[in-house]
Amino acid sequence: MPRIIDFVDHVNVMDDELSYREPQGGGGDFRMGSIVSVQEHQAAVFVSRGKILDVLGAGQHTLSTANLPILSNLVGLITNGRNPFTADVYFINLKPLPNVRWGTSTPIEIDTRDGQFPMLVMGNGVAEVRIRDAAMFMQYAIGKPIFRLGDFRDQIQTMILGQLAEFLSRQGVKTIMQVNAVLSSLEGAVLAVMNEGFARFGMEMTSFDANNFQRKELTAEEAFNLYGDPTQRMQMMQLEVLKQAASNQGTLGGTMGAGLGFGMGNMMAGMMNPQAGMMPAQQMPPQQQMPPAAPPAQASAPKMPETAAEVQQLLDTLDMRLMNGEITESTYNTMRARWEAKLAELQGK
Amino acid sequence: MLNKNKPQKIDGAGGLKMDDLYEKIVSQRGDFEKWLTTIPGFGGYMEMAARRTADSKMREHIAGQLRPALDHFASAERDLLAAGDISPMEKTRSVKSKLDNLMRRIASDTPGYSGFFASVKITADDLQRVYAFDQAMESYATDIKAKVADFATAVNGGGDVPTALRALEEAILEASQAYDLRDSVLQGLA
Repeated sequence: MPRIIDFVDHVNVMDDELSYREPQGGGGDFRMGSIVSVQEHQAAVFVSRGKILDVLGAGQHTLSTANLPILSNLVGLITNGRNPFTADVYFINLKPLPNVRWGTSTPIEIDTRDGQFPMLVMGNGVAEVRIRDAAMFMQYAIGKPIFRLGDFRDQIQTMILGQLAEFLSRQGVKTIMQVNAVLSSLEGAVLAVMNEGFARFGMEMTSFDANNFQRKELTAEEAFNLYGDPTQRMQMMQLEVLKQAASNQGTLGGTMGAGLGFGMGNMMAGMMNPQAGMMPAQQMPPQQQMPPAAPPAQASAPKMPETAAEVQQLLDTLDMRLMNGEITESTYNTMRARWEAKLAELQGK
Repeated sequence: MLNKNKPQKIDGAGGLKMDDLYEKIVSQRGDFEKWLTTIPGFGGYMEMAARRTADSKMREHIAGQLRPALDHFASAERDLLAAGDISPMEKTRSVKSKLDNLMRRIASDTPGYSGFFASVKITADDLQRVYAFDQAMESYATDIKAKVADFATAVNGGGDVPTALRALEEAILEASQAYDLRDSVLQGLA
């Protein structure tokens, strides 16, 4: 003969508890007339045969077909209300959990787009979360005797850090002071988007606070391990800039050097100064490992096509560059039109 | 007659003085009987033993009106953020927090001792005064919903977002003051 549960409640709720199953071993025997006492900021969810059924709000409930309509139908209790039925009751904690700590275990990389190594920032803070929809949350809690915030912390942490990294990258910040200057807006932005992700867990984030971000300084060895040989890295960046400049050739009227700007000047100076590239990594400041600010060198512009044959040769390479993805279709069209006109002019047409 | 328990506190976080707000609320009271029937589960305050329950139902109803406004605001806020600029988020976060606090406070308030809940009998005037504040709170909820809609329109239609936000913030602040007044009115009844 099963032991009927005549009264059930859950009052000793832990600070980080999200849900608690009664009985802990599962499969409790209830009957219509059993009492379920649900505290303020709690919901009781009945689960039977693996299905999430009825939800009871705060108050003392005497189980009946009226407050357990789905369960009643499922177990056929309408015809015989005295028969015991097997179910689990999950007490869901709806209280806000205000002390959800987050922090960067590995630094967030921010591409400062100034040719230097990415800026690495570390941050931490605290958030407040709560369960908003007990039934929706149950899809994660079902089957677990107890579900605590710790079981969910990695997910929260990943979501927060992902959003932070995205927003910080988008802001174009270059220094830690600039990062901290937008801290309040950043907190607001993270809070605004987090709830979209949280909604699928039946949860919401109600506050998000961050302490001032700190810059993570790398040792030369760490920088080498993360980003490789500074010389090679510089050369790759130079190659990238040269490719971009070449693709701008048409739109910039062929004045390649003029479009490169001060940053390119710096890099060209570095390229032409092999001493900088050969400098041992240990001698470089960790976050400023580009060559010291040299006066911008004048980049030598490539020779512009002047004869009809040279223009024709340039036109012949355009198709290949388009196919290789070096230039976009609109650049291709612009350049083709421009150089065909030039060719016609040179040929006296 | 209605002013016999008018709170004397004259301050406020902005907008109207408490006295003016009180006058505004009691002078704008409408047809209670008809309005009360629109609130599910609300049985009125006549039954002394059921007054706490009735008060809880009323607050639940008003907070329930604010929940969709908060969700709508959050959605418009994400639209604003999608434009790429995070700078307005400092202000939107502050406004959202005020709205959330108001909603939570109304939903989960547990009034302490009040003559309203303990006295044997309350007069028709007292009752009207409480209903006037309840009705005003619902009007504020409706106003806040409209202001949130204006904010969403400004975000998506390229309107004046800061102005819409300011208007919404003012509406929330006034609603908070009105709720304080309602509390004072309940406490003042003996």
